Amino acid sequence: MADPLDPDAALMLRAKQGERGAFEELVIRHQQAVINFIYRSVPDLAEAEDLAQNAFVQAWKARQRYQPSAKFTTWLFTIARNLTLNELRRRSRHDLDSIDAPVAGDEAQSARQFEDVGSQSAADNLLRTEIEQRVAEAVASLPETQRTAISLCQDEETSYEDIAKVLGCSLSATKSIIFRARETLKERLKPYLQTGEWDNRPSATFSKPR
Amino acid sequence: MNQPQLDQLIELARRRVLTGEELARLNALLEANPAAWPDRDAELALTRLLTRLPDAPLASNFSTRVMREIEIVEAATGRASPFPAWLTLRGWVGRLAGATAVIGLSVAGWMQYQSWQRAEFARGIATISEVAAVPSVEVLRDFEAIHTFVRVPSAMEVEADTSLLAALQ
Repeated sequence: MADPLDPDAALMLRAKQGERGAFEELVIRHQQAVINFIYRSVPDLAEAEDLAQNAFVQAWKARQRYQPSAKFTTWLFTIARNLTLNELRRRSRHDLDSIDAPVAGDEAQSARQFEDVGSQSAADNLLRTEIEQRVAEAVASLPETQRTAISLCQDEETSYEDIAKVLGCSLSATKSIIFRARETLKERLKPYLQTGEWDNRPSATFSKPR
Repeated sequence: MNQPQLDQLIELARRRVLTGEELARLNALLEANPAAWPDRDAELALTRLLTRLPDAPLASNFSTRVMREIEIVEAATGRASPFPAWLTLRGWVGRLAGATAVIGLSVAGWMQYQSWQRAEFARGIATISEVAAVPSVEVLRDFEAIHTFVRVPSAMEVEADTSLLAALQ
């Protein structure tokens, strides 16, 4: 149950009254988290942005159905997940490019540059880019439910109960899904786990609401 | 050993990189019972890899685009109704159209089935008619006489029955 003073719920209640400014604030707060979530499943930046935009539009259109008893992000991620699943089904029907393979050399790759280039060698950057790519590939190749669970799990503010609601399964089943996903990832990323430390760059998987 | 505290730290370690203080507490708890989390190093390393995944690049005007799209959607659907869809005329028209389509299809299907059933029945009758043809006039010529003969028991039959009874006794 959402805290009655939960800022997201308060904003959504104002949005229900038709206040677009309140909804825009919600978009700004959660846009990065939603696009990250979708991008893990649809590694095509343009497509992921379209889906994220659609998720927010759907949330606006369905705002009358939102109940403040539910956590806003759970509701939003459920919409985002459904849209992503539809897109994946459409892709599999049309036999498009493999969804498991991130688009090589796309704008996303070029945008993944590191801020602090001066302090790191080109080799370090290259290695880090390779590791990120391998991790992203390993996550993308998980079954959809496991991928969704793992993506949501990285946001500390999303509880296991909320993840269970997005997945539409029990709490114990959710924990089991996360466990299986981590086991698979450990197996696939074994060489990178053995090489040890990565840097201490701050976590960037899910941005905290501003 | 403080099991709930250990479980909590393990759960946390699976979700984000632990702070130095949290890691020290975890190590202290595991020192007493390393078997409680034998895969610790790989688990911690995996969390590090997952949490270091970079954000997907986000267009600076993303929220503006979303709000513009919402304006377009709103303009297309007219002024947003304060009532839920099922209470509006549009909602009812849609439901009525759907229900009519379903009923229409059901009636058409039923009529088609009836028509097919009648055709099958007629085919069956035609087949039986061919097999059980009417007897010829020659056969029916003595019909009346045979019919009467069958209805009246003869004296011989009565006697035969008596003989049978006597034999049985």
